[in-house]
Amino acid sequence: MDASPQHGVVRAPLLLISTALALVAMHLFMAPPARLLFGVLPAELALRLGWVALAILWLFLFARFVWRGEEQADEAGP
Amino acid sequence: MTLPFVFLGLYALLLLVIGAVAARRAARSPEDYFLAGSGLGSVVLFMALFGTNCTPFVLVGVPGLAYHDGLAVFGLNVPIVALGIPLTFWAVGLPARREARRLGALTPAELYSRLLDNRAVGWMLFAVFTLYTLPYMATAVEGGARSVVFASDDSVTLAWAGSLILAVALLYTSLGGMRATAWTNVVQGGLFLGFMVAAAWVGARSVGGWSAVLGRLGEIDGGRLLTRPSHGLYGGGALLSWSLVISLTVISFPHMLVRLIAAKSAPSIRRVALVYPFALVALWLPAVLLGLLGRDLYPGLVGRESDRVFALIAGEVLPGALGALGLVAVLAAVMSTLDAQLLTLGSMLSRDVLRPASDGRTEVRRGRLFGLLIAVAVFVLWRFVPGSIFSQAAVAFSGYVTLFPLLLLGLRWQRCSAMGAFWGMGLGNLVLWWCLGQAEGSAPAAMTPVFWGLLPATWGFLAALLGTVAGSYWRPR
Repeated sequence: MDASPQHGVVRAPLLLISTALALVAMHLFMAPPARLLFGVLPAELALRLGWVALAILWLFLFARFVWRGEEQADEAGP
Repeated sequence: MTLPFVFLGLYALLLLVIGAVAARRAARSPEDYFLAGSGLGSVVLFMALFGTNCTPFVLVGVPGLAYHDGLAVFGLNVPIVALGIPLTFWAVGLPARREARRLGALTPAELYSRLLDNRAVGWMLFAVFTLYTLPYMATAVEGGARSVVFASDDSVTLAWAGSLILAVALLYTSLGGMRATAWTNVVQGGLFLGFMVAAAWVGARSVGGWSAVLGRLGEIDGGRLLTRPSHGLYGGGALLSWSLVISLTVISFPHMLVRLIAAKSAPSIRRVALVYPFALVALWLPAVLLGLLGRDLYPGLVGRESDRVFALIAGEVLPGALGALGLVAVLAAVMSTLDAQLLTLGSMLSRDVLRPASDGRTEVRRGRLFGLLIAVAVFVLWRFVPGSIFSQAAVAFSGYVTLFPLLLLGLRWQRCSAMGAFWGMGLGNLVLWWCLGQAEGSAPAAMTPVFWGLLPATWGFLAALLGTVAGSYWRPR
């Protein structure tokens, strides 16, 4: 992979590790809080909505710390 | 029968008016016509992507699937695409927009042929895109036409219904180019999203509310419809493969990628990515719930008969005006994808297969003519090619995934070369089709695990990745 900052993949290992952790967290930890949050819903739906919530949270963090960095590098030029 | 067709007439008229308004700004240059002047702001970009991405499969097919498999259909698709699709907007869409501006490319095939400095890359990409997009378009026309025939109690023939759908989509697309398709997508996306949310809410209220419906469904087969099964796509390697397919295929649609290239700014792509998961939940959850409502109201449907759940609820459960909007919602989903496909394949034929014209107005005229040719090809494929050809549409999603390694590495790996592109596309598609041939059983080949419990798409993807990397190492850029 190209390691120039403007291509933004210097953070690729960080991205991969945090994605993997987010997926594991989705699987292991979301069921109980999801059931608490969505107690009136069937467990299957509550769990999957919890997954979506975690995905959205992860995306917001990713956009804040990785994506915007790449945009700024783009604006600064090569 | 009258009300749905009044709505349909008004809907078609609105699309043509939008096309005509967009036409006043579209005919100036190829960039105006094919990319809306590279000026899609966040709201229009979001609706253009969402409208293009969502097909009648979500409105009609997902309720049909949820009728048999229950709530698990939501978990099978939404969490992974909520994460995967926005991530591909960053991984491919963001650098694609940047590089397309730098190189003056107006189509996905043109972008990669210029990036890798080889026109044959563009030809091959166009060939693979067309191979998977034409059958996909033909099945969309088929689905829309069948909805019209059903709503008219067979007084409109299938051929006429399909012709009208194609003609209206072609007309407003030809008038205003991408600007028309993006603006109409705002209307179309709002229509089908609003309809699905309203239908799930009003439909359930008419039979005692969701608590009552879910309570009754919980008593069927020990509550099977409210839990996740472990068979088929819902477990093991098949689930992993399916997750890979639905996460990576969307950015590999040429008609999606070109919309990201047309984004006004890089931050607008980021903003769209952050809203996308919410919209997916807002559309998919009602679709799955409608399937469950259908199971509660119409038990006993077998196999694909469950695809009628959407029409049955719209026609028999929802109040008159809302039910009548169901037909418009399905056609909105059909046409919001069809218009983008017509424009994108037409533009690639015009700029990638032929050399771009020196005069901008000639280029735009050629784009319109090729859009017409694509529409005729779709009609011929739909009406005159034996039905078995349409099974290709089922493998289209898998086929697009074989392009993902090239689309990603071409932009993010400076060593990636034309040789890598040829090897990746060639090997990926060869392995995919070989695996499809190995699939046995009653399920569609693309959905049947072949080796180590993985779907053909995974093997095609891995082969494409290997081919792209090996070819690029053998002869770098």
